[in-house]
Amino acid sequence: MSDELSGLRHKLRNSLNNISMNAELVKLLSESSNSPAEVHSAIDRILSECRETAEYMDTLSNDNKSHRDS
Amino acid sequence: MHILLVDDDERFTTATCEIIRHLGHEAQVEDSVEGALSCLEKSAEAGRTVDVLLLDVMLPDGNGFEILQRLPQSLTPKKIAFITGHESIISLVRKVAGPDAQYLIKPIGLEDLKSVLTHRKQDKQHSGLPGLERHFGVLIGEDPQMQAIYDQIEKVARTGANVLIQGESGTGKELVAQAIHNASTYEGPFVAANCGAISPELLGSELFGHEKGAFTGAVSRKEGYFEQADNGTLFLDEITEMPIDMQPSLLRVLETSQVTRLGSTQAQQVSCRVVSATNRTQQQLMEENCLREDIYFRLAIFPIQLPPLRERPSDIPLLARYFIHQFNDEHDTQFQLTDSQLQRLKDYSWPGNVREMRHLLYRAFIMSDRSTTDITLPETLESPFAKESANKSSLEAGVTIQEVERELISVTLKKVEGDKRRAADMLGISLKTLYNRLNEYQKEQLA
Repeated sequence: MSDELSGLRHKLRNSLNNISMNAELVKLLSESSNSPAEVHSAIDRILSECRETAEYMDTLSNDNKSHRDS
Repeated sequence: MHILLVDDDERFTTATCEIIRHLGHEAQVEDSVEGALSCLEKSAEAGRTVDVLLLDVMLPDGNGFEILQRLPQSLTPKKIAFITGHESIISLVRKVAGPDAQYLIKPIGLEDLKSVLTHRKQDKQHSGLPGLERHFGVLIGEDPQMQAIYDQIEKVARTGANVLIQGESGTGKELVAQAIHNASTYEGPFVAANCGAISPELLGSELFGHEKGAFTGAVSRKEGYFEQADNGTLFLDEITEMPIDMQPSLLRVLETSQVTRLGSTQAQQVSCRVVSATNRTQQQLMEENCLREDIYFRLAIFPIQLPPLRERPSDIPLLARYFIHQFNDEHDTQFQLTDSQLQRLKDYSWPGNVREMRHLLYRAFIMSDRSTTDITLPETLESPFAKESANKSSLEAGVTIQEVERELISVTLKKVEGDKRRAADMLGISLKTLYNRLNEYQKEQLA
């Protein structure tokens, strides 16, 4: 596997990890507390992680395209 | 508990710290090797030692292992878990941080985090296969009967009660014992002994230990299993193979929690849970007089009945996939079982239970062509024990010839995977007769 691809894999895994932990936090908060602000910021972290993940995916598809074109 | 989380990813640390606090612990974050080292030192100086260290392997100014290498023993937290993105790092973690080091594999879930934070040595673990979990680190299976057993394990692990596991050979009694140990708060080791494999003359010295010179050949002092398992779990497999005249000595240890080495006059205090196991049924235990009644009640304070594999067929594909995954991992191969192969495995009765299935798949794995991903199962799945159990079930007084015929047809069809022509050949009847019989059965069912 190329260094780039393994770096991308690392980034994607970290993103999934952040999504997972923040989602677990939302679950915990929604079960027991009434702090919408905390829930919101956890959801915000999930959303921005999703956006970043999408950008990584774009890099991957652009790379593939340039490989094919070259 | 005071927990130090060392990771440079703020989105992760923010959420994780909040979760840790939510679970009732105190959380602190550092994002570098230097930061972590200074935090551990300062915490110790302030008398607030860190109980659990959650450590990212890759940090901006070095790696997590560096922290352990530079940290004096006195400051090293009791529990350390490495956060890693890949299972391949686990062997490295164990090499550097010892076999007891734990690890969290990204993406981490709440249950993973909880199992590291609580005293449990292992709870649910990724098996490496999506959708498959190793309960208590060792058990695989989602059948309702197994779920009930997980519940029992969870409950008994919280106590110090002795457990007797009953189940057919190959059902995984030792793994259940290990699961109880993993789920418990015992800090001592899990020690397993097979009473059937040790000669009766040696059993006493193996279990209780001996002093130097206690008997010819006792050249040095030896700790017995009970002492070795102190503050842990002692698993006595095939307990019913223990000679009946030795059982009073075992009873005495169970009653007094004291063990006297052979040749010694001084008793040692031991504290361990005894999990014993037998493949005899309750009926056999009563009839065969292989276990004294008083010792039975001491050992079976909490009995667990393990189901044979044929009674939990939905777990057969899970276990089969898991074994193949294990073999693939060990040998760097890519074998996979097809749906029809999984169905064949499901249809077989597995008289030797999970052990038989693992061995059969291992044989199939050895025989398969490694340049492909197809695994070649044997033409027929059978063992000498299968025939014995099939005979037992079908030939009993009081069963009518029609009933036997019907069972025979059904068993044969299963064996040839529904191929009616082959079934008719094997049964020695014409295909027409076979169809007639099947039609009759169908009509009876509809009636």
